[in-house]
Amino acid sequence: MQILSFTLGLKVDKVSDLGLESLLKVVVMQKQVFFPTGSVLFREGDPAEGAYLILTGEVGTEMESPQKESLALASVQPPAYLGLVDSVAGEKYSCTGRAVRDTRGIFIPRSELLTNFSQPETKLELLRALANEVSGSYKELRMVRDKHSKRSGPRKRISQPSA
Amino acid sequence: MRSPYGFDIQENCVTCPIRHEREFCNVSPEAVADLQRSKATSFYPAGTLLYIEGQAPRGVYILCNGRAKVYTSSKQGKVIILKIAHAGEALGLEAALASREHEETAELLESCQVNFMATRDFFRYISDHADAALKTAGQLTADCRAAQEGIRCLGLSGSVEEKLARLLLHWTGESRPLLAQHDRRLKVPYKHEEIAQMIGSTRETVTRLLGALKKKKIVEMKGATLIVKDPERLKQLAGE
Repeated sequence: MQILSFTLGLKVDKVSDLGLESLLKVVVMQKQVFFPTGSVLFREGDPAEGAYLILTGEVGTEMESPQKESLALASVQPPAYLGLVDSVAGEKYSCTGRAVRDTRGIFIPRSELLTNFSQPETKLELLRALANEVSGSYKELRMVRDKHSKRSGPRKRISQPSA
Repeated sequence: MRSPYGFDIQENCVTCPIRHEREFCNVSPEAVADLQRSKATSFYPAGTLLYIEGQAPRGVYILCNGRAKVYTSSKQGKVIILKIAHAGEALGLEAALASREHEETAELLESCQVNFMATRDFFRYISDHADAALKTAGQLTADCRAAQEGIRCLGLSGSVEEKLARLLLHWTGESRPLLAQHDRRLKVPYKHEEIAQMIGSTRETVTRLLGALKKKKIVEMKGATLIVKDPERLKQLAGE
């Protein structure tokens, strides 16, 4: 929640009459984006201009080969960041994000993400989120390795012909 | 001071003459002074496992020199090399930050000097120094993108030849931290078996395919140096 208040530019002490949670709810309602089922949040190869904080729903991710073959990756369940690594790196999105169910989230532009790295209250949350993305990529890599391995079991022994 | 391992011992980060060349150590004077106070320096022979998959994190390890192989294994027990870490890289970041078991093993390929920072000290270090947090973020993004490239290579390439071609192209392209490169010459620090572990194949197949690429004059091997002679044909093989 720390990053939300900073991302949204909240001055909590100026509005002490409101509790933080209720204030956040109000602003989140104003800033959030909605993606109906099947719609695309971002496409692989597009410049990563920001990350999404997914609040409700579900987003599927997929990679595409130059021959337009598709590889489905793990889906993202809320609350979670999406496109964070690509945005922080300032690269292109490495996959396509598509809403599997009606999805609500908040778009955080790259400039705000980078600003948050200098905020003591938010940098740890962002670094933990990046660590989770690394961990998720390793899990995905292990699954893909097993799925696409040439031999899934031990090599068969060739029996010697009896004399 | 020269150590028996054949490298110069450098225990003081503040006066380290090559600190500015090391990605993770190239931070502000305040941050490096804090790093110096918080770390413990050790020296290990080649083959040492700094941490293993499934182990609870104790902290982060900064390679002062040498190289380390970072790998994980699939459910079927297949080894997947995630990267070869070089001097100036930090290891074990994601486990320390996420406070969960290591998902990978880090094995030293050479005798190395390693600076260790306990998790609690590391959290304080990145909390107090914005540039240190940015360096950490940079390293995590590089690790993640390397893993994504691995997923792409394994999951979206049809034949082993295509996977190998993709890997060679990736090396010549964006993976500068992995390999020293000059134009299209690459110093390949991997054995054929390790390359096979990256593309989900066998050592024999990698040796055969590299031989075929040489025969077709697409690549040339001079010792550990690989020269891409015909990048266009390599791209065709990679399906690009």
